[in-house]
Amino acid sequence: MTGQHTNRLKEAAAFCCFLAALLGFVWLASALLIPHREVYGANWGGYAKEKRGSLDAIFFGSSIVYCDVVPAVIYDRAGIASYVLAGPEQTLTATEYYVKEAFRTQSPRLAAVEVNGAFYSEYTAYTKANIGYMPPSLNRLLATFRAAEPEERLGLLFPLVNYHDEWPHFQNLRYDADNLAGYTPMAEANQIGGIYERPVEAFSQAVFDRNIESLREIVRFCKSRDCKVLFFLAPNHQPWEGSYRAMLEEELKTIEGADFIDFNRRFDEEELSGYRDFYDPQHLNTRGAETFSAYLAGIVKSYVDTPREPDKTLWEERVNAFKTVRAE
Amino acid sequence: MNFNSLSYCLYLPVTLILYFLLPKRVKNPFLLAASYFFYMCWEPQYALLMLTSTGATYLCARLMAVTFLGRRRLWLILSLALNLLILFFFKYYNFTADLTGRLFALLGVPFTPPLSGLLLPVGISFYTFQALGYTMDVYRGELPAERNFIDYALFVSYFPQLVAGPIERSRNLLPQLKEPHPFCLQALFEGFTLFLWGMFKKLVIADRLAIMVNFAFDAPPGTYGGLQYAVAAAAFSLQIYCDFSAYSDIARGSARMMGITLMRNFDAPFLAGSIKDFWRRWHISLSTWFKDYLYFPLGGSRSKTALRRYLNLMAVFLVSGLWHGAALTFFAWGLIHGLFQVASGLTKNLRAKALATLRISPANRGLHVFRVVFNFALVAGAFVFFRAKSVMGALSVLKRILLDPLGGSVLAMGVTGRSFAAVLCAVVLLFAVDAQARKGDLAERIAGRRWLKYAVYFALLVGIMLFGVYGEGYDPQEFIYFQF
Repeated sequence: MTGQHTNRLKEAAAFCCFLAALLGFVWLASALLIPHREVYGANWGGYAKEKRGSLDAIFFGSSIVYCDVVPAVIYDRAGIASYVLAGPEQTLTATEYYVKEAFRTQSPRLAAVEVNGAFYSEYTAYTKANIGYMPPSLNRLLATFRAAEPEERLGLLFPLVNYHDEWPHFQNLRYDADNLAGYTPMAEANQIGGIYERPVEAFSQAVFDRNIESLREIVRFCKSRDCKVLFFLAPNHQPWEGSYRAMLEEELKTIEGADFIDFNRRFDEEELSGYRDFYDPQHLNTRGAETFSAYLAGIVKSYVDTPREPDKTLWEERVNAFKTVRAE
Repeated sequence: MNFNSLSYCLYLPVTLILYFLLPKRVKNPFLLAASYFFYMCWEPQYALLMLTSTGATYLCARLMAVTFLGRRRLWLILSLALNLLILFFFKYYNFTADLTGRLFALLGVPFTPPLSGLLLPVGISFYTFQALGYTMDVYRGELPAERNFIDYALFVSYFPQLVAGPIERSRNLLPQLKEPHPFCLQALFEGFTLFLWGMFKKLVIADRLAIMVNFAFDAPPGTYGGLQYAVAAAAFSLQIYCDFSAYSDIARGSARMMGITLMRNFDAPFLAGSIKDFWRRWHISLSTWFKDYLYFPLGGSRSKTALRRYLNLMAVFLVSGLWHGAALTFFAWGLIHGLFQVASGLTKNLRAKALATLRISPANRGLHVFRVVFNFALVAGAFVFFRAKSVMGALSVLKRILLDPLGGSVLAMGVTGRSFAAVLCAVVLLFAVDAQARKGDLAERIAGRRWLKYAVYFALLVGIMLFGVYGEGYDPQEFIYFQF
């Protein structure tokens, strides 16, 4: 081997060491600097701590889901282990990738998707959180290019772009299992007046069609995993305009293999009150969430014929944790 | 296309790869096309202006060589007149019109000259001076007129230094553009070292200091305390140095990767012990341009009387001030530096006598440190005019510094304590690197040592990634000298 060859080899080795050190740094710094996230959805850190294949139902969608659905109550009433994997103002395109990513560690019997997002605009204000907390995977990459606005993509591909300025506050790398299983409690009760319809601002047929296509893809995907799909609209004092909800319902009827429930039509059955159960017109407080989840438990049970044996200790802790939160 | 943008980080490697892959005869046409593309990323129509300036200087220089077509001086004047007219129209017309309007108002004459709505073409002062330097070199017979229009057009528009210098001399750059430049790994590493150091200075130091500077100077004059303004003035001096020298380093680094060596534009200016020394180290390509093409033709330091010498100096510094921008603040900045030079000349003997009386050797270390600090204070004070929005605003800031020297808190200037500490550490590093760079080409020394090179790259990249001002929540700062 000539001196020149040896030199080249040494150079290549030094370059590889440099590259490895740099990639290692980027990975470690990204993990250390991204703020810990345990509430208000996108809580993938806690979700990753769930025992593989232990969940029977997962709830997807936007903030309405993580404020309204309490897995601890569902367990208490139906003995079914479930989880809320939603994100703030999450678009349905992002939800599509949430569903696919969720199945990498779990094999639920029911995927329940809240569909208020059908009338969200193409991008919402929380893309960074919704996609940025997904674990590194092909689904995250696809979500970055399909569900994130172009100017957010660089920060989603290289989280240091978004979080490098967090260097004075290093984060704990470890996540613990979420003792509320993805639910975010909103304690305050605000008196909400009558129900009034929320106008759909700047409706785009193209965006709506894309959202419906995402829902179809969710059904296709879940079918291939032997999982039932339930689309629903959570109880809301500001439902979308009636004509739009009717349009959504018509579209959902064309998707085979999924059911649809508009819980706004069952206010009386659910025993929800606008005077004591709402945090704001769209989100339930802890009391409302408890009432709604108890009602939901019966519906979930009808979809999960033979529930898996849940980890009783964990779920009893979760039931108690919710009771504590509820009592506060 | 800013140097500190993702698009440049893609543009540069693509250009380099194509440059090295292409056969020699198409390398320069390709670089010319790439340079025009780079320029047209700002305002495409202004590329025509650059082409006009290039064509005029090329033609006039060629005609100077063909003596039977007229006297050489005629072509020189024509070239100077045309280029300066373009520069005047785009850069100084509104300033002149505004001053004229104010003058008429003072005289009670109701006349307001119309203002032009044209944007200032990016880099016009730089490429115009580069082209004019070439014309004068040809006129003086220091260089034959370039025959190849492509090579000449590339000399004027060469992208690394097109927008903010260094203002290259035709004697240095033109011959290099004609040489073959095969791929060289060592040159690539040297260039990358300069490139990364430039990025570090821009993103970690200059743009972080800009937060404090903008905080103080963008508020109405007199809003903050004297200490805050003093810190802001010092911060701006360091900001503009890091910002401008960063551009020069990235430009030199980009060119070095192609095997082309551009002139050094800064030589540790804040380690200078006098104003004269400062100007030997600050924006070297412009100060030597003025020395070669203005100060010496005026008679320079060989003028018969001291008065004439000082007038020459004042003329150079006033023009230099106005070169930076069409505003009274830049004029005042040039004026102050001219006065510093004159005062330095007038007190030279007095200072020497005072040192002798105090029995302090001129080589005394403590004296040198005092001079460096004092010189920095003078330069920073003058930079207040450079940064302030008006002369009155600058005077108000200086007044506040003098009358209320301890007023205000440094930590109430838009930055956290940790951020301030980080930028202070980076400034210490800057001075250490500057001191090292004076001992020889630092990029060459680093690039020549395998492990050191990668360690430096790693440290700089980590520094940029962690402490750089980029991403959400930050307002990306353009290079300050783009506006000139």
